Amino acid sequence: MKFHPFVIPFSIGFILFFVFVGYKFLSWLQQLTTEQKKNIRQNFFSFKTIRACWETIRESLIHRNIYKTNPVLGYMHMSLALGWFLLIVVGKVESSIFFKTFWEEPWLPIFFKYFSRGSHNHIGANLFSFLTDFLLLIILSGVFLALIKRFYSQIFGMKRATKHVWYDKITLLTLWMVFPLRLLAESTTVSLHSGGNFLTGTVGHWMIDIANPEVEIAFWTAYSVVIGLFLATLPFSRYMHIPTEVVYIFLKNWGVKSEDVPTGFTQIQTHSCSRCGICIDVCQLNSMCEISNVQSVYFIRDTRYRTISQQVIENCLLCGRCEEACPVNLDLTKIRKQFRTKNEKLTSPNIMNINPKIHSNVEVVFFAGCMTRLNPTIIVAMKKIFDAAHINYWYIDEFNPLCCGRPLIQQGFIDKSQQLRKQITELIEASGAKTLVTPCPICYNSFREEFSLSIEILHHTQFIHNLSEKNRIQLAKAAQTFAYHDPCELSRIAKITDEPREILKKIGILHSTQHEKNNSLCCGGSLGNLLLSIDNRKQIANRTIDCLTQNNPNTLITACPLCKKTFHQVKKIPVLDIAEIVAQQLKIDKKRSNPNLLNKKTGITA
Amino acid sequence: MKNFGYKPAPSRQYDMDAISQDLYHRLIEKEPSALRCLMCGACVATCMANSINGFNVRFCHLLLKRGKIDMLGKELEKCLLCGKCQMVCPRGINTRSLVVRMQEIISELTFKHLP
Repeated sequence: MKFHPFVIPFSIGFILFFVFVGYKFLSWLQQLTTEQKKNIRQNFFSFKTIRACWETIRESLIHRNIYKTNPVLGYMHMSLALGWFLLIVVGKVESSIFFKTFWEEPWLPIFFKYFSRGSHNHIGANLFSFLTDFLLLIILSGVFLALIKRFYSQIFGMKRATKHVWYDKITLLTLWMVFPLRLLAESTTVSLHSGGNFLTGTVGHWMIDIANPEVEIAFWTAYSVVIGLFLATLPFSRYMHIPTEVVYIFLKNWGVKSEDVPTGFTQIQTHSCSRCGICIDVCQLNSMCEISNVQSVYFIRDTRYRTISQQVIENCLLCGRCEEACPVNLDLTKIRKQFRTKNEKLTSPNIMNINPKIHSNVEVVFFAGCMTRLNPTIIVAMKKIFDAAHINYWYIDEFNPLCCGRPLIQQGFIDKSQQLRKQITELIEASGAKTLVTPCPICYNSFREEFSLSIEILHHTQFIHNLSEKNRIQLAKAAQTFAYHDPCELSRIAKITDEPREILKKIGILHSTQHEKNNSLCCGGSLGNLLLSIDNRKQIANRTIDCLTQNNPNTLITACPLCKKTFHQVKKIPVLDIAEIVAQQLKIDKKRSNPNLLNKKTGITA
Repeated sequence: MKNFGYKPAPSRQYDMDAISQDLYHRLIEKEPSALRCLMCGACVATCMANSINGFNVRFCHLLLKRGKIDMLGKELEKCLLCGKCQMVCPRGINTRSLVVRMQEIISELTFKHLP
C-alpha cells in the first residue's frame, strides 16, 4: 500500500510550495534587466556554475560564514540545513532502492518508515536506518539549540537577536514541530513493526505501552500536517531564503550585479535574507546609540512585506559593517540606496554653474572636495608633498568649490548629482591630466563608481605610497606611536587598507587596534544618515575613538577629512590626516627645492 | 505739499498673525531641532553651494517661517547636502534634514521606488 489519507496535508503543502516558489522565481527572473539576463546567458555553461555549486554547499548547507561569526551559531544553522538536506537525500535514495523506482510518489521518501513497515531486508537497510536516525538526531540537536537561543542568545555570540513578526513566528513553530513529530511517528511504527536504529528504536521502546495503530496514524497525520503547513507558508515567510539563496548564489557567480534602481535581482536578495540577525550586533546604531529597529534585517523585511517606513530607509550610516557580516553576502548598502531614490522634479538643468579658469597640460588634478576644504591643514600638507616631489598639478577646486555629488546620491538625489558630474568631468578632461588625486575617500569612491573618467584615480594614500616607493619623496623617522583609523569608505568600499599602513610604518610605530581594515568602526560622521542627532553622533565618535586609543598611542591618524573633523569634535589625543604626518616628516632637499615654494614663516621665497 | 522727490518707504512689517503657520508647524513636526535656530548665519558662511550658486539655507528657513514659499522650491534645489552647515551650527541643528524636509513640504518630494 503506497497511499494513506494522512499524506494529503503534506501533498497539498508540497504542491503549493512548488507553485508559489516557481511563480515568484519566474516573475523575478523576468524582472531582471537586459544586462543582468545577458550575464546569466553568457555564463550558464561555464566553470562559474561549478564554483556556484561549491559555494552553495559551503554556505547554504555548511554555513561556513556563520561559523566565522560564532561556532555554536554556525553549528545550529548547519545542523538544521545540512542535516535536513542529507535526510531528504538519504530518504530518497533508500526509498528508490526499496520501491525500485526513481519516479515515485513524492510522499514515499518523507513517510518511508510507515510505507516500508514490516520489511527491512532491502539493500543497505541497516546503514540507511542508522543514517536516518543519526541525521534526525543532528537536526533535533539543532532544534534544541534554536529553542535555547530564544532565551540565551549570548551563548550564540548574539547580544540582540531578530525581533520576528507574528507570521514568522508561526512558520518557525511549524518548523520546530516537524522533527519531534517525525521522531514520535517513526518511533511508534518501529515500536509496532521494528526496523528502527539507535534513536527510533530507543524511543519506540519507551513508547511500547502507548503504541497502537490509531496512535501511529495520529502521529503520522500530525507530522504530515506540520510539514504541509510549513511548505505552504514557506514562500511567504523568512524560510523563503532556503530556495532563493541558491538562486542568488548562482546569479552572483554568473556576474549579475545590483543596479542603481530596484530590479528583479533586488527582489531575489530581499527574499534571500534569512533574518538571522547577525547584522544587528555589528551595527553601531544598535551597539552605541540603542537604536535597534532600523538595521538591515528589518529594512529588508519591511521592503519585502511593503511596510517600510521613512525612518528605516533613512536611519542608516551606510558604513557597510552589516554587509561585511552578512553570511549571505547581500548588497545591503546598495539596496538601501536603491530605495532612497527621490522623485526629483528639477526646475533647472544647470543647478551648479561652474566657470573656472582651466589649467591645461597638467600631470595631476588635485580634487579637494567639500570636507577637505573644512580641513585647510590637509591642503597645505598636500601642497607641500606635491612640491617636494615636483609634481605639475592643478588644484581644481581652489577658487571654485566643487562637490563630487556623493552626499546627494546617498540621499537619492540622482539627477542633481548627474549635473554636477557632467560639469566636473568636462573640467577634468579639459585639463589633460593623466591622474586625479583626492584626499577624501568619499570623493574617491564617487569618482570610481559614479563618474566614467578615463584617467587614473588615486586616493592620496595610494599616491603618497607610490611617491615614497619610487623615492620621489623621503620620509624621516619620528619617535611616535600611531593608531590608524580605517575610514568606512576607504576600507570597506574602496578596499584600500595596506598603503596607509605601509606609509605609517616608515614613519613610526603603528599599533594594531581591535577593529581593523574591513572590520573598522565608523566615526559616526557619515553623510549617509539623515536622522541621527548630534548627541548620537558624538556617542558613536566617542566610543570609536576610545576603541582606537586603547593602547595609548601618541597620535590618531586617519585618511578621511570627514573622519578627522568628526574625531576632532570629541578629541582625546591629537588627530592628524595621513598627509599631514607625511608632510611633517618630509625630508626636503634644500638644494633642489622648488624656487616657487613660499616659506611660511618669513613669507620670502626660498 | 512740498515734493521732496521721494516717497515713504513701503512697510517692512510682517504680520505674523496673518500668515498661516501651517507649513512651519509641519516642518517642526518632521524636524524638531529647527526650533533652536537663532539665525546666526554660520551655516551660510560655510556653505559650499553659496559660493557656487548663491544658495542660502538661513534665508530658506526664514522664508518658510514667513510663509513666502513661491521661490522656495527652486531655491532648495541648490543644496548639495554636503553637511558643512551641520558641522558648524552652534545649536546642533540637523540642517541637512531641514532642507530635505522643507523640500518634502514645499515640492512634495517623495521616494521614487517605495515598495
